[in-house]
Amino acid sequence: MNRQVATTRPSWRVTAHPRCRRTLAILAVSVTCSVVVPHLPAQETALKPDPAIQLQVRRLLNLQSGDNPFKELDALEKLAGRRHERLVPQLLYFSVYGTDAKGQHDVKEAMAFGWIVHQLHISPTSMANALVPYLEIEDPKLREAVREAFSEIGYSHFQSLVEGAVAQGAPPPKGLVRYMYQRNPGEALLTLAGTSLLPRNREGWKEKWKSLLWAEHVVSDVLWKHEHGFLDKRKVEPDAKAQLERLSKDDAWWVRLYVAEILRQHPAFRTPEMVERLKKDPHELVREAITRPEPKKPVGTFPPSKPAKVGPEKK
Amino acid sequence: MRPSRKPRVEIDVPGVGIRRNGDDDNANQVADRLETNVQGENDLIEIELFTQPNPSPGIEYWLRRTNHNINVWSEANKATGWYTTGDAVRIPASTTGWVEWNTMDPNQTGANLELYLWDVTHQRAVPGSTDTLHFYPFTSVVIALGGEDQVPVDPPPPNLGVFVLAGEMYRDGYDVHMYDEDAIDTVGAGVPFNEVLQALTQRGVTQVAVYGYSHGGGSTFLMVRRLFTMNGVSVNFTAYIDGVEDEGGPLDNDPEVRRPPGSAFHANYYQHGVSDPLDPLFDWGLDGGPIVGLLPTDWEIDVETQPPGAPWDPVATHYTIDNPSPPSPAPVHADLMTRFRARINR
Repeated sequence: MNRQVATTRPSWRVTAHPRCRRTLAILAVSVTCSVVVPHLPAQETALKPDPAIQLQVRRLLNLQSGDNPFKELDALEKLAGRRHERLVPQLLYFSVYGTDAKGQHDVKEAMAFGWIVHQLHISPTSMANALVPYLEIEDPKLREAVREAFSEIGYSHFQSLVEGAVAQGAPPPKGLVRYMYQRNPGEALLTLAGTSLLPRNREGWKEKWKSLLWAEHVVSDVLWKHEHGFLDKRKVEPDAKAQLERLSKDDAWWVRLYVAEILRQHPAFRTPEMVERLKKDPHELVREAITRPEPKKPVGTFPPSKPAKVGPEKK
Repeated sequence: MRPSRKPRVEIDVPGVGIRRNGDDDNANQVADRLETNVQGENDLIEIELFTQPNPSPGIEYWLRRTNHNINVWSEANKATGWYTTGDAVRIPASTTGWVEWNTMDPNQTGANLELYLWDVTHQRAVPGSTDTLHFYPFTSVVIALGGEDQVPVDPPPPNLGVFVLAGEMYRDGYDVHMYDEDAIDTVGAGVPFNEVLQALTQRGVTQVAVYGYSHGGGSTFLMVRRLFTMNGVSVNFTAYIDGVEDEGGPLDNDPEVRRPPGSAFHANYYQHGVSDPLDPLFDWGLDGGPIVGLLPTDWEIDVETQPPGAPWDPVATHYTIDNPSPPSPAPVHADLMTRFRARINR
């Protein structure tokens, strides 16, 4: 009896996940570089002009008809280096002290920094990285220029610099930390909390993160009320004070620094106990912040308004 | 006879990747693997079974599963299960089925479906007739983000290099998701973010890879930062191909040089933008740049100037650096794939 047995093998095809055996050999690519040595900027006390770079910047500002500005920009970048760590401080120097052929410094020289940064697409992160060492430079004009440049940079760019240091086992640059906390203590606190200074692989990190978020929010709310006249600047809501009291005992120095800076900038939050505790803080930046003088009020602000005294009308 | 899209031999190694069906596509607070008739179910794998000649006297076609890690359904939404009793089911004709991985046990790493001929007369499987498909559950998820106005398409044209790479990863057996970089907002939230969280919390995924080109690089930073800051997720592999910041959308032209927070490994590929409109390599000056805070264990290369003496692509532009084919050679693709495969399991 013939028994017909199907010889065709059953088959199928997978249609949702077509598969491909790896048939191509991985291209052998030999590279001899590109591993970057970690770089942690050190604080500088002075910024010296680089004559070649200063000359090239001046040349850029004095192009004649027929000159190609892009070629000169390219030459500037090649001269100073692609990482911009040399270029940015030199541009800043030029914007403060650069002169034209007659030795004069005017708006044209002052604006060179911004224009060239824009033309070369120098990112805020690179700019911050390049200028961090000069945040506390001795020259007051240069120091002011550095801080002005920083004022345009968002905290997410600073976060990269902090994280870069922490990831390599180093403390964040002190000058940068001081600047961040002086400019906006709340944003500084949350920025540092967003780095590995608050390790995400430790139990309880999320509760800590949320408690910092909440504390900053409560304190910021009071500051907003002060600013917009909803609350007398001499008064502080109890919850905000309680949050600061709690944070002043935190084991993280960057949390206690937030408290120190808030107390310094907004005396209404101070309690003698908190101030004394922070004066004896084990961390230098915290002690420094609490003992630094209260910032001067900017010109044009007025103390809490009192009703004007109106004398009797003269008859 | 219907031709197969891929030769059968190509699906043997390493098998068919499949997602653990622990998520909740119909949003009813019940894991999809625990219920039937799941509206919006998107984690099953379609298989087509060709059985010819069928019917054939004395011969039956059977489909057997080697363990209970998988189930097969008639529909993509899990209406009719095949293995109601036992682990083998007769296939009366060529048909289509939908395979589901229905266990969350991380120790279960494989399952086979075996299609074979059954000799009715002798009550035995016909020797040598078995065709086997091996299934393995994904342990990783990959997110690929294109540049501005680059919409994912499959198959992608050569100029959508990020999606060409994604296709290669997909064919290599990974769970890859392609997105328009606009799917991520300025704080890193959006569908890709949700996809990653879902994979981690509901599908048993333990590794995450995110990479992007141009604004896709900027969006990579934003999403990875959010994953780390809000959820404590350390992404295992990140990469920028000429990354550009993306907080400001199309107006943001700054190079993305921030290292994604929490990334265990970052690869960065960049070139030098040209702003001179008269230059043949003019690309609006758009480019990535050296990463600030790059770790010693990361990787970075300026493709126009490195390695010294034999740079990868001295004439790269922002528009060609991500391409897999001439005029921009493929070293970026090959290098990224090498580093990716070394760090990410399927």
